Amino acid sequence: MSVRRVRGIELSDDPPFTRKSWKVERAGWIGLTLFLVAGFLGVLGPGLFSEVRRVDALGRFQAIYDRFGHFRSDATLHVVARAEGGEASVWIGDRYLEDVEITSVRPEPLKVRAEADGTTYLFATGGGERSVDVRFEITFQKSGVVKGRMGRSRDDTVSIRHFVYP
Amino acid sequence: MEIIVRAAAVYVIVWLLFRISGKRTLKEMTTFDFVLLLIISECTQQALIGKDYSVTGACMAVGTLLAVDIGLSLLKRRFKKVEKLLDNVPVLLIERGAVHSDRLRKERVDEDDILAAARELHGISRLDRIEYAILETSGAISIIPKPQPAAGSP
Repeated sequence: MSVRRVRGIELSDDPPFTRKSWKVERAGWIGLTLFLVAGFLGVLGPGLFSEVRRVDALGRFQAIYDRFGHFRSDATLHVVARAEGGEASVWIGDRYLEDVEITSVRPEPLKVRAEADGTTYLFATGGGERSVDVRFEITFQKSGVVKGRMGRSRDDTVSIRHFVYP
Repeated sequence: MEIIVRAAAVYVIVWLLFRISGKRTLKEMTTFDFVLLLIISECTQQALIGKDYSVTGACMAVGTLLAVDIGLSLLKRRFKKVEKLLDNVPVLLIERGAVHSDRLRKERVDEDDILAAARELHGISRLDRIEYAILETSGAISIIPKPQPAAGSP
């Protein structure tokens, strides 16, 4: 840093650099504001408009989840599946399960069956309910794009896609 | 490996945030600012070590932060431009008795702050007795008083 002599005092100030610095600072404030607004709106994680709803072609299965997540943070995958014969099933593909860890399932499934390319959760519906409302608590194990398929069975699925921030 | 990357990233992000928040943000530390600083450190803690609660993990995180800090201090000594970029430069707020109001506004400093520094450092109670006031890179205000007329002079 060059030392400037200002009539009697030696000072390493730099007015042009200071002016640039103020501009960068103000730009930084705008950037910070935009960042917070984006966070509030749900672009950086769960927020106002981050929720996505995927419904299968016949409307018998729907998955509701946040489009954006945070690495190793918890999120909720909400599923509504039509019941048949007092039971409802939810199939989740292995590709999705490789990148997320299911930490809890509410209500408790009657049976969990591992299959060649996915896992089926079987739920009992009491009192003649026509559908089952399931909440999977998940933790993202990977950052970047996390995608997969889920549905009532492996032949009747919707695609799921999150972007997970590191 | 992951902790080292996390710690280095947190260092850069915290530096960036404090850099854009300006010089005076942490210098005028009130009790609330102190609590705020503690909350900020608490927020960054998880990002630093994640779910690794081991002593080794903590040592790696602290080691990385110190290594980055030492590395940057060496760079600053060697390259003055880096020093300027990282630490900013001092700003003259009062020059030869004249107050630079635009600089005060941009740096979010007011005349009361200068007077407070003048009182604390030199027991000066009036702005017109200040020759130079400098906002240092640390956020502190240095005061150089006007020379006093010799005793007995008219």
